[in-house]
Amino acid sequence: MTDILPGTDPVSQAALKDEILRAEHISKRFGGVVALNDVSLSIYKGEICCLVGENGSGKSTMIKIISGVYTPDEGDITVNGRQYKKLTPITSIHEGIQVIYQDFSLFPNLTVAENIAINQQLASGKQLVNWKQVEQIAREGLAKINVSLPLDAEVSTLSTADRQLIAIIKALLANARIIIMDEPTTALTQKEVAALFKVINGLKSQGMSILFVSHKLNEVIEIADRTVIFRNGKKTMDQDAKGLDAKKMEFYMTGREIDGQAITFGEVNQADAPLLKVEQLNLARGFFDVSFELKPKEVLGITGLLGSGRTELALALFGELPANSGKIYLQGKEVQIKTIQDATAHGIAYVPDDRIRQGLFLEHSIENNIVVSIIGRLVNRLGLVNSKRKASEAQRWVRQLELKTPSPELPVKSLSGGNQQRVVLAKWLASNPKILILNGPTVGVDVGSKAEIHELIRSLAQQGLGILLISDDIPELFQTCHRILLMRAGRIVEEYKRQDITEQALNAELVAAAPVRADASASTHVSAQP
Amino acid sequence: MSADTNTPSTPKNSGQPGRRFRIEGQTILLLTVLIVLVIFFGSLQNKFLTSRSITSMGFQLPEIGLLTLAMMITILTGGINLSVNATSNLAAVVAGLFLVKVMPPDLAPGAVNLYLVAALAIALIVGIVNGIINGFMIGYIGVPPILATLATMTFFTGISTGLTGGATVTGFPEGLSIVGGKDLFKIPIPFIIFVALTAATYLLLNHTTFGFKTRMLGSNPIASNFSGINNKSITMKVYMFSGLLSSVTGILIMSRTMSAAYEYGTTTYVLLTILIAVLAGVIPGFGSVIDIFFAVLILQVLSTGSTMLLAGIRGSSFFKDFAWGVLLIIIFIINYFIRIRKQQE
Repeated sequence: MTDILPGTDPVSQAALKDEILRAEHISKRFGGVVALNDVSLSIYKGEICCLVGENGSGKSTMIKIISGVYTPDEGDITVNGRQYKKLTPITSIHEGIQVIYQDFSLFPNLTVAENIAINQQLASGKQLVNWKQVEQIAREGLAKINVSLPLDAEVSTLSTADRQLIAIIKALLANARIIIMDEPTTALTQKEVAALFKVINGLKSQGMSILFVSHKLNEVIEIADRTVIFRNGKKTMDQDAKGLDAKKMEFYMTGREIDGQAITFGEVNQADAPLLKVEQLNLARGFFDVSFELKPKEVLGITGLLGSGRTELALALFGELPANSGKIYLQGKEVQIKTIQDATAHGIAYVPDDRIRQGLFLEHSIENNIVVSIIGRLVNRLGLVNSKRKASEAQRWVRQLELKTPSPELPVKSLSGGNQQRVVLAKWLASNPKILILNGPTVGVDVGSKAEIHELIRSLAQQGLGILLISDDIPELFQTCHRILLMRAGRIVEEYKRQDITEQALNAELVAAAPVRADASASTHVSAQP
Repeated sequence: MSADTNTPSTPKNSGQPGRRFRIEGQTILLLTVLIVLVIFFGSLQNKFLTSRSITSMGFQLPEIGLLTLAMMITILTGGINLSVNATSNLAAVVAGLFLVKVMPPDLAPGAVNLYLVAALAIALIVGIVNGIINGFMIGYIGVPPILATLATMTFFTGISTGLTGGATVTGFPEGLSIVGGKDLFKIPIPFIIFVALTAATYLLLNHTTFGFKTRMLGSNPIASNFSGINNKSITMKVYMFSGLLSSVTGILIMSRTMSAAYEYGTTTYVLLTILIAVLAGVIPGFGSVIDIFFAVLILQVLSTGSTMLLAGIRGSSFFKDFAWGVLLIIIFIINYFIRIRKQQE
């Protein structure tokens, strides 16, 4: 089987399985942009359907049409045998369609039990809260997916994974027949993902249908019964997930082959003096006795689960969370890094993991975002900003990093995730750093851009930079790093050369590195081990 | 009415794409409103467009205009400065007491002028020191701006009251009135000062690295910190500049009224500056000094125009506030439609 074109859904399947939802020949335009072009999608009872596509491929538009947020320009939707020209959010919910968005729409200041029971309590129309009933509803809800959570805990104190479970329970209690999960694993650790998949499979065995929207292909391979791929508003694949590999999916997502084999890594000269040397660095409640070296042209990976101290280490080197003790040497000279200004003065740049919050000025132009770290260098003799140089500097980086935008004067929020990440990279590359610290450089970036960013990281290293790459995306580490350090509970426990370990082995080490600290135990109620 | 024929043209003009669309749209909108108001009052009141009334407006608007600039730059950083008026009063009171209590009587004219210059310098220093107090609390200790400046507003007013015992300070040398009461080539000196400081603020915000960093800080302080901007020092400088502009206002008031008091303007002025800044479309990270200028003109025209039109009618002084409120609501509604239109494009 090579390619199933839109509109050629296997009819036999529909006959065999209960079709709950059928969206037929859906088209949707926004102004001049065609978001969906004659796309059909069916969801059957008790299946996990994965919807895959790059940013801008039309996935989100499809979800919003199914959930009644958008009205399609053309096409029909049939749910539970009833045909609709357009759905409203309310009819969609009545038909049992529940969307779990990335923010989960919970009340952080209410308890677990209150969050789970709030809809029923509101619907009952009573003036007083029946606390016994609240607790009972919450217990029933938790039992439905077979997990236990502290009912009295405030939701704001829970991990992302636990909040997600609450969102799932709320959907179930609202009599969901189809649960749509929009990028559910973005903020989860590997172990939490495994736990989530267990819950999803449990729901499936109860006859629930899941539409799992993601662009993490390894997860799709693991969980999907059927895989649907969108590209540029068209459906390029809709087939049984069996026997589908990442390479083939990448091809249907991007329309081109992304060759994982032809990677060339730059040589690190072992005789070179280290660019950065860290000795016995400590940060209270962060990390302990961390020592390592980074050579020029080297990409050094640091991996570990959330809470392993990997982000704190990066922030210590960048001056945001200065280390309590230990020594940092740059090109052989000991330096004090107490503030971010210290770090940038020493040529250390940091690309944060939370791009939107820490990396970008969303409303400001691409140009302003690129020059923000070097604005002091773009002044004329009178000390005024030279707007021509400012514009040309931004233009240079737009070209160099192949940023896809009609104009650098547009706000950064108009860009896709991959291009936004390029802006953050450009901001720091413009400052001509010696050491680049990347924290989760491709989180929320689609496959095509991801490969391009990896290529960029390798070529930057070849140009002489030292790069620290913090990530728990194992394939990413193997695409870019010369060496990989594994952190566990604030300590570096292992060092691997890329050639000396396989992705599977490192993955096993990473998951085994679960912290044994009290704060993480709340999320271990579901065992990840089979 | 002429307003109906003019306003619809605004969205059309601003429909062109471009980076400063939002800001340019706002400028065109404000300019249109200004022209409409001038034509409206000018056609109904032939006293309105006389040189006397224009000159009188030229004396009145710089005070509120400078306070608005002082307010605006703090809003740009995502903050607010409720102590602008308290600062200008304190600056005037301290400078005034210096002239009344410290300056020896019966000095030669040249020496009096020296004391006058010293008094002005003292006023400016008071403004900067007040700014440092605000900047320190907000930038370094991390007190939310609205609370910090609410505290300093009361604090500064308290100092003024204590120093004067609640009385008005008067009896300044005649030379002081030059700054706030005289004109140069028929242009009121306060207006010249206002235009000059508006231009200086424009230059500072739009063409210096300080201005650039201020705007970036306002739109996302976490990202500006992670981009190597020293948020603390920028915040400090912004509040210092705000204090300086406030103290210039204090000098103008003191010179025009030839008196200084703890209670001049009070909270009405503070609320008015926020209102003008909102009218000019200032939000954290974005805002134009030019729009502030037009917004100040609009309010002054509306104020003078309605006062003239309703002179002699009972309760007419309240109509001014009413008219400002109505104008603000109209501008918000027009802005709403501009935004909707922009989103559709």
